[in-house]
Amino acid sequence: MSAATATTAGAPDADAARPPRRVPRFRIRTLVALAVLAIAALVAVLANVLAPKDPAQAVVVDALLGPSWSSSPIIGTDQIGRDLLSRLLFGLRTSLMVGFLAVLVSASIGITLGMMAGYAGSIAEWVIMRLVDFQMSVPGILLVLVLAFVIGPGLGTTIIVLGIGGWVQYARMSRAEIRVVSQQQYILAARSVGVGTLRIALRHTFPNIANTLVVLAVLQFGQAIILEASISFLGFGVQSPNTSLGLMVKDGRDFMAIAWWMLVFPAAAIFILVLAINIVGDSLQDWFDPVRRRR
Amino acid sequence: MTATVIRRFGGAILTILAVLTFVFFVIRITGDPTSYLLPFDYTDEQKAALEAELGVDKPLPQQYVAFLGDLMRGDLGFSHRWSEGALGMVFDRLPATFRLASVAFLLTVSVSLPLGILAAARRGSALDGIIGGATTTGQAMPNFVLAVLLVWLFAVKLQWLPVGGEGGWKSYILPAVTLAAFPIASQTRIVRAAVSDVLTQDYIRTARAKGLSSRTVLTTHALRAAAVPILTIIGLQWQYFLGGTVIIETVFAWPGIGRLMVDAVQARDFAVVQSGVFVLSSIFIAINALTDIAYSWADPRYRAGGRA
Repeated sequence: MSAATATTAGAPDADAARPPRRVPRFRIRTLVALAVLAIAALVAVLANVLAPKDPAQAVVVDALLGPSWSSSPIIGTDQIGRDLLSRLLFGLRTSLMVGFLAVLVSASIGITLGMMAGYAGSIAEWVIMRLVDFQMSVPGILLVLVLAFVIGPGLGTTIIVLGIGGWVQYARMSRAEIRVVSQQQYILAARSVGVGTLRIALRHTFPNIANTLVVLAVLQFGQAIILEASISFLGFGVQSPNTSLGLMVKDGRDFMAIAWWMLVFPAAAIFILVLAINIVGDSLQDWFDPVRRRR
Repeated sequence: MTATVIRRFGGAILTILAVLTFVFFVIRITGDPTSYLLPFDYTDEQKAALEAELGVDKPLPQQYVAFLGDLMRGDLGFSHRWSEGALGMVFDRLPATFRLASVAFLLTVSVSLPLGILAAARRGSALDGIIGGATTTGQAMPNFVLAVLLVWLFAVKLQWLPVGGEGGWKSYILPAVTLAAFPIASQTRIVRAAVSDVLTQDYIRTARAKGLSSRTVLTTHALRAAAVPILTIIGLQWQYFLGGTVIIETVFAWPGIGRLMVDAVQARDFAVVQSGVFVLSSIFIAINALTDIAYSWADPRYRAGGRA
């Protein structure tokens, strides 16, 4: 582009030299995403109240009914006549619960080990970081396959797999952040007035690295939901008669030629859920860090 | 430089060994492999014969030593499901996986590089907004969901493309697009971030101030500086391609390693699972090592400082 057009067309090049603006990104779409998540959480918690039918109750004569929109079955039935809306609500509950527990497990393990590595140094750090290196050198899905092989498929397996699979990111990040924060003067000040290591870690260091970890946890929550859905889709996760969004897509795939509703609704549910989580995570990242450190 | 190469490859071989050791013990400790190979009404003699055949009647350390010896001869066990050497089966499936991953890789690079650079150069514009929206959408769509939806639309409804299997060029479209969708989204964002980071540097302002056109600044100054992080990420995307094939191959009945492994896990065929993990993680670890070496070749600071 020539210099002449650059000055007349609102100077895009001048924009390019400026750091990205923060304010416009934290707007309507963030609020919409938060609302979607709030509704999803509420609906999932109240699934047993809101569901019009028992999600596991098969009524074979009602198999593969299309959506009627106004009366039951509102969004149709599956191949053995179970109410799809009820299954969707309970599937959403499973997916959210697995994602939440997976994040809880991986964040607890990862942050604890990461802080140990950041503080203890020497042998503990070496061992933990070699463990990190090791796990990062194996594609995550292989770990999933091996553990599914060993423990057998199921809901518990999924949570364990996701929990073990995800801790590495938290460990690396909390260790790196601790390295930075430990150099700050207020830590030195606390240490020089005789505050113990554990107290410094919990009262002074942790609050200062929490922002970064919260952003990571939110983004990992979305990834955990995707992974749970993938594992269940492959048949190694949640087993029938329980259901999850991934398992519903698997069923939907088998009947897609004759019952599009079995595929489209759970697929849309996963997509909207993860989209909302990612938008919230991105906005939080911008919010906490105006300059937005880029990796 | 030579030291870096030696260190990285030494480390890579140790890691591969660690992966194999992990898989060996995890599989052996957690269950009796004969339990899912024997018929329901097996006799004790049958069980003992099978245990002897598999070598699981000996103590674990002894099994491990035997396993390492077999490994040196390229023998990772025998598939009881398909009655073939497990490692050979995996290698037979490797080309199909490699072909699919390569097409997806080319697709990713040729879409995400121009889009990311364009978004960074026109930051804040409507185009940047559209690309940003598309990448956010792409990152929220699990690959198997996209795969199934595309099959439904293009193979079942419109019948333009095959449902699955490897055949002519048409059979590559849906698997490659679904495999590439997520890396295209994430890589476009990373390229945009890397290029915009560079564009905010002082020397870019200097170049602009001395009257260079924005095109010259972008191509000769900014892109060269942004190349190193972009190169690294492109290397790391192979993790995603190798992992993603497991799911994509299952959806599209693609005759590659991923589908073989899913079948093997379902059939509880531990020799095949073990061989698949060995081959895939070896490739992956080798790519990581090569990426590291490329990085230290491209950026001398990295060479001097070693790893953080």
